[in-house]
Order: sequence, then structure tokens, then C-alpha cells
Amino acid sequence: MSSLDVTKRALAGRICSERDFDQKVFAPRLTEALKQCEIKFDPAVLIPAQDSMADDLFKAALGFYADVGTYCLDTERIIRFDEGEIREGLRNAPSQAVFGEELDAGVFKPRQPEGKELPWCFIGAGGAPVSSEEVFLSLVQGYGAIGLADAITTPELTMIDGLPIRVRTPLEIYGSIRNAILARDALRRAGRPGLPIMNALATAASDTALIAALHPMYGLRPSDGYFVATMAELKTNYELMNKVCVLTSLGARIGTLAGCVMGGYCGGPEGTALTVAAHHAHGILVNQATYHLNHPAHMKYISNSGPEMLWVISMYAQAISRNTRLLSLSLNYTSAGPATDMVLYEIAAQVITAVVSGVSIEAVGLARAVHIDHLTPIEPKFAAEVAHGAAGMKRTDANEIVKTLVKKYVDKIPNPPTGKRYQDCFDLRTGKPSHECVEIYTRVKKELEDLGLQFKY
Amino acid sequence: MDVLKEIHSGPILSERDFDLKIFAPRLQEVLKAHDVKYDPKNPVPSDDGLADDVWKAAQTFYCDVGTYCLDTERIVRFDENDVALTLKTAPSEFTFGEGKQRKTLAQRKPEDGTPPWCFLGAGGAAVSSEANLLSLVQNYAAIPVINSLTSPALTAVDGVRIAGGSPLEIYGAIRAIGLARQALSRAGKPGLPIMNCISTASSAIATIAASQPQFGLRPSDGWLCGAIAEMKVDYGVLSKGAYLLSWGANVGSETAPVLGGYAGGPEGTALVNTAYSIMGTVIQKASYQLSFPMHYKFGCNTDRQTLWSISLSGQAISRNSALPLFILAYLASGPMTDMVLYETAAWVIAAVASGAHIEAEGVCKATHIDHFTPMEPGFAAEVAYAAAGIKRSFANELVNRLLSKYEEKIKNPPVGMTYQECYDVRTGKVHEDYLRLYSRIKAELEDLGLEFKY
Repeated sequence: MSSLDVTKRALAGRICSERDFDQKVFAPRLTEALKQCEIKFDPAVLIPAQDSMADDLFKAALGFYADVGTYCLDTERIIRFDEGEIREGLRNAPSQAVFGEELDAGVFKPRQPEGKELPWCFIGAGGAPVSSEEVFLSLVQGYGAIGLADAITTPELTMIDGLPIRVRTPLEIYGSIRNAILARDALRRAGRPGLPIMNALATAASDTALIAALHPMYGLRPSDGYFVATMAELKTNYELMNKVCVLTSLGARIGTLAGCVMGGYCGGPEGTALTVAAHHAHGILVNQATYHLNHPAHMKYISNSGPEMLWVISMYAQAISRNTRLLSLSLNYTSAGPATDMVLYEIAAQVITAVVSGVSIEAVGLARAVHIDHLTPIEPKFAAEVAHGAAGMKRTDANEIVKTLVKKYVDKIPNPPTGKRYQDCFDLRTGKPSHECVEIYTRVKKELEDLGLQFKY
Repeated sequence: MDVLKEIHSGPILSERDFDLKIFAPRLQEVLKAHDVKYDPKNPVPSDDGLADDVWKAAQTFYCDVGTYCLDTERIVRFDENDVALTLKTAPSEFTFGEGKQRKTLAQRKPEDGTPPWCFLGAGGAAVSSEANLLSLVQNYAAIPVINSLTSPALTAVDGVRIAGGSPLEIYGAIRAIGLARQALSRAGKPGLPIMNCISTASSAIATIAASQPQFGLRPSDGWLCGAIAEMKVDYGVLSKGAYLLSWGANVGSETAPVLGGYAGGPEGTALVNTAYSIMGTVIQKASYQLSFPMHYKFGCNTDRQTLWSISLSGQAISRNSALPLFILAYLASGPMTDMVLYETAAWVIAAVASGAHIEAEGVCKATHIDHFTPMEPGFAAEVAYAAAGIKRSFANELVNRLLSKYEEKIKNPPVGMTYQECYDVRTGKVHEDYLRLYSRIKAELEDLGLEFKY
């Protein structure tokens, strides 16, 4: 199934208004699919260890996607695939991929629940915004210096030569080009010029800006990873399809990005887990993805560190990792910001949940990735260390640790501390963290060791 | 970046107010002040003073009116001294093409003996199939004096009609570039620049997508960034410019003032077309201006009034600016008719004698699929070489004679025949009837005194 075939279906599929798709197709079919698989959220078990439940969820997700398909907003038509095409797509989807160049190249492989294989650590800013090129350079250099980093997620520039970057203007093109150039430069300074940038490109929201920044002169390579989002829920548009068309024509690797909203059309945790799993089928067929990045979000809190969201992450991750060889990652958005105990508790809970449930990680969107400069390299470093520590752990053991961690912060989620800015936590010139940040990091790491997590570093 | 800063900070105004309260009244005032008058008897005027007056008037007009951005609803204006400095310091020579087909484009002057740059092909008109595109481009490239290609546009990809703004437009644009390069290689001219990048792409996104060097385009090709009539841009135009200039590609400022629209009559159209040359340098940082003033009613520019506007603005620009100017004509009639060759001869002679280069050409208004062949641009090139160095007064005489042969038919022109009716698409051989017609019209032009060089 090529992207041109998908485009043809977007132009010829059944006509339907967006409202009808949401209310007469998506929502009722989701309810029916959930009835069939009878999965239930249990607040006492955030990381279920029942394989059959995960397998049931996967089967239901496949049937659901075959029934519902993907809605194209521009043509107001539904792009449908039958179950045979979906299974063929799953069979043919990449089950491993090389990212990066030379010394920094690595092979991203699928994992299993409780698998000992180390997760792929795609770490950095999670696309959060920064105020200046100086902060951007220093941060990315700091990310590049994290030994466990397999790939980098860069921040988003908000200004270009003193002008605020506006989406879908030429300023976004200039900003995106600058983003690519600065990121490569920073990684070169860190001594890791071949490290892949797998969120190409945080500053480019529009198709035009992303595609403009793909010119090889600016440093992006086919061995980087390029995001194509999905619109909630199971929707696409010409802008996203344009990205797919160009990226596939260039032989670049696409990462499909899905942020299913718990509390929206997905309903509760069960519907959200099923929809996230279904998005993987959408990812391989509509977005022609090599890897799948999921960041389900709580409608009210935006973050995904609450108990229901952790259950959602665990369920979809087990469903996908047990039943496919897809390259799936969980991206965590925390409620709290840098230099707080809470942010490290949230990260530990999210990362342990994802890793023992069989997926890799992108870390981390701090303080919901909405506060400018509220990000540092300490949190992604911590996330990678936790991820390596959690590989091979039993789901039941992980469940106990995660429940203990959640108790430490769950009451603060509605009103979390936003923490400090990068320039308040680090010396921009030397890239060294403050004493306070190091103290919090060391203390929380010790607490996790006391809870039973065995760090490898 | 400086232009972008202005576009986000200039005075706010509705588009309607820009058109009716700024553009139109200011144009009338400037025309009155400089006393520019249309002379139907002389479609190719020979008055240097008039041309220079039009240039001065266009400078004043542009500095007063500026450029309107449709997306920000703001006007970008530049100080007259800054504009003058930008024009004085702008580069005047640009290199296009690769290898043996690499060549430098420079400004010509009225009555210049230097042959014009022959930018030949379809003028972006649409073809029905990939086979037609390949065959046409291969034959365009075989025209001996061709300097660059204007490629046709595809209308379908793998049997699916291309919808503007959809991914199909991107697929189509990528496919068209690949085919054009392939055809140029088959013709033995792989380095020939494509200077109408990208005819299959109407949107900025499709242009930017298909311009990735992996698909075959090179910085030494030329990209058209069209101004919006009159004196307007939008984020699409500016985005293309931002992308292209960032990697050193050649940008062509594409301008088409509408005679009978806000530009008014022939005098206003000439002045606005001249002002566009200034805008091309200031806003679009262009390597060339591609100009095709259009008659609002006929949809072509070979009528008497528009030819006068083309000639006068061509002289104003080429006498006073460094920016190389191309005139592109849209003809009323179609292939294998007497009229199409008369029209071609008339506009080419007017343009070349007035100091312009040529893009040839949009046959049958470029609105009828497959209604164009390599015969018309081939003929345009022969006429262009013959017209280099002739006096404007003689050009005026020739154009008047030619106009008398087709002027009456412009309202209801013959659409002619399709490429596949005029040519054997497989062998690229032209129909005998068209060859005979071609020779007959060429002989008529020789009888009128035009000396062909080949």
C-alpha cells in the first residue's frame, strides 16, 4: 500500500462530515469494540500482567480500525482498509531500523513485555519551546553528551532574528532551517555528529516548513527520523499527507505521532488504550511509518503521568509489543517542571511502565512542554537511566514501584510546580548543572534504588 | 528577513482599500503628472524620453504604493533612496544551466544586437499524458538556439487528475521534473536549465517539495515566484522565496498586470509592469523578471494595446534597470494556423527590439490541453535572432503589418490542432502541412524585410 494509493482512497472514499465521523462512526464503534473485548481499568493494577487482556485489546483494535478507518479533513472522506490489508501492512512494516550515521548509528529493534533488550532511548526536549538560539545550542549539546542517548529530540525555536516565529509564514521556514542547522552544530560540538535527530522538526509544524528544511544543505539526513502527526482521533489532512508524500519519495524514515485524548471521543482509559493501539495500524498504512510515537494525554491535565494514563500506556504497549514487531515508543509529558522531586517521580513512573510493557521511550516533555525554557538535560538523562534499569523487570514488580511513585505526586497533578528554567538550573556557558539540581537527581535516584530499581549506571 | 519584518509591521489596510484608495488613485495621479499617453499607431514606440519618464514614474509610484501582503493585510513600503540604492547595487548577471549548457544571462537594451536569451517551450501549458510531455520537451531541447526550457504541466498522475493543494500535486510536480530532466538528457542537453520551475506546482508546498535536489532540480535552474495582481504578495509567494534564496537558487519574479483591471489602460499597464521590475528586485530578490501583461477580455497579450504596454515597459526597464527582463506571450490562436505564427512574430519583434529576452510561449492562451507544439517556440527563436539589432521604428512597421493580419480575429481565434495531430509523438516528426505553413509565413516575413539569421 503506497502513499499514492492512500491518496487515491482519500479522494474516492465514502463522504462523511467530520461530526458524523466522530459521533456516528468513531464513538459508537469504539463502544462496540470495547464491549467485545471486555477490558476494564483497575486502579489497583496500573501495569496489568495478564497477557490475554493485551491480546484481546490488540484484536479489538484491529477490527475497530478496519471498521472505522481514517478520516481525511480536506476531502471529507473516509480512507478505509480491510482487515487483510491491515494485517499485510503489519507484516510488511519495518521490524528494525538503522538510525544515525557512523559511530553514532544504532539499530532500533522491537521489544517484548518484561524483555531484557535495552529500550531505544530517544531523549531530549520532546519538542518543547526555547527562548533563544543560545539556549537551544546549549541544551542540545547537553543532550548529545548523555551517553545513553540513541537519538535526540530537539527543542522548538520560538524566535528568529528577534521575530516571533508564526506557523505557516515564511518565518517558520527560516526557523525550521535554523533548527536543523543549530541541532547538527550542537551535536557536532558534543562529539556525536552522527546522532540521529528523530523529531524532525520541532520548529516545523506546517508541511511547507518541514519540507523546506529537508534540503540536504541544512544537515538533515535520511537516517534521521521525521514526524508526521495524526489528528485526534484517527484523522489526517492534506498537510500531513503532503509530508508523507515527500518523505517517502526521499526515502526518509517517518515516525507517526499520535496523542489520543482520554476524556474526548476515546472516552475513558479502556477506549483510549484501544484507540492508541488502532493508531499503529493507521501509522503504517496512512503515514507509512517506520516508528510509532504515542503520547496519550489526559484531557484536563494534558500530561500522561496520572494513574489512568499509566494504565493506558501499559495496555497499548503490551498489546502492540506482544502482537507485532512494530517499533513503538512512549513519549511522556509530565505535569511538573525541572528541579522538582515531582518531575523525577513522574518520569520514573512513566518510563518504568512503558519499558516493562514492551516499548521504547521518548523522554521527555516537561511541564507539559508548554513553558518556554522549562527543560534541562537532567530529566532525559534520568529517564534513560531508569529505562535501562527497568529493562527485564517483571510487570508485577514494576506495578508495585509505580504505584508507590504515583502516590508521591498524584494529588499535585491538578496544580503542579512548574519548576525552573534551563538558565536557572544550568550554567549556559559551561553546560554544568546547579548544585540543587544534582542534589535532587541524586536523592530521587537513591529513593528508586531503595524501592527496588536496579540502575545499571 | 528584512522584508518579512516589514510585512509584519507595516500599516494595516483592507485589500479593498489598498486597491481602491491607494493603488488606483495613485496610479492615475502619477500617469497625469508624467503625461504618459497611449499611441495606437505606434505599438513599438521609439521615444527614449518617454521610456525614461515611465521608469521615473514607476519608481515614484512604487515607493508611494508599496507591496500589499494579503495574509498580514499590511503594506510594505521602502524609502525612495533605499529603493534606488537596492536597484543600483543589485546584481546584473546570473548564470543558469550546467556543463555545456551553462550560460550567463544579462540585461539587453532596446535595439541591442545581442541575441536575446531564448527561454523556449510550453509556457507552462498542460499536457494530457506523460508521453506527450517527454516527446515535447525532447523536441524543445532540439531547437538549436534554446538557452532554457519552459516545461509543460502534467494534469494527471497514474490516471488520477491532479487536484491543487493535494498530495497529488506534489506527486505530479516530482514526476514532471523527473520526466523533463529525462527528456533533456535524451536530447543530449542534460545541463539545459529549466526556468519555469515548477509548472505542475501551483502551490508553494508543491514547489518546495519538488525542488528538493534529489528530484533533479539544481540551483542553476530558475523558479518563478508570481506577484499577485496588482502589487500583492502572500505567504505562499514569500515562502517560496524564503526557501529558494536560502540555498542560492535563481528566483524569477513573475508579473502579469491586467490591462483593463486596476492597472487601467495601456498607459497604466506599462507603468505597473515597470514598477513590478522594481518590486522584483526589492521584494523577491529576483534574478530575472518574467512579465506577461494580459488583456482582461482576450486572455492573451498579442493585441495592439498590450503590445504597446509590453514595448514601452520593456524599454523603460531595459534602459534603466539591471534586472534581465523576459517577455512571455500568450497567443490567442492555436497550432498549425497562420495566425499563431503572425502573433508570435509580432510579440517577439516588439519584445526583442524593446530590450527584452523571450519566453516562448503560451499557445492558444495556454488553456487548451495539448494545443502547442515545438514549431511555435522554434519559430519565435528564429524571429528573435532576426529581430536582434533592428531599429524600433522598423520593428513598429513590422508589428503594424502583422497586427493587420490577425487583429480582427483575436476575439474569436482558431484553436488549431493538438500536438498529437501536428506531430508523430513516437518519432517526434512534424506534419508536412505545418512545415509548409511555417516556410510560407517565414517567407512573408522576409518579404517584409526581416533578415533571418538561420
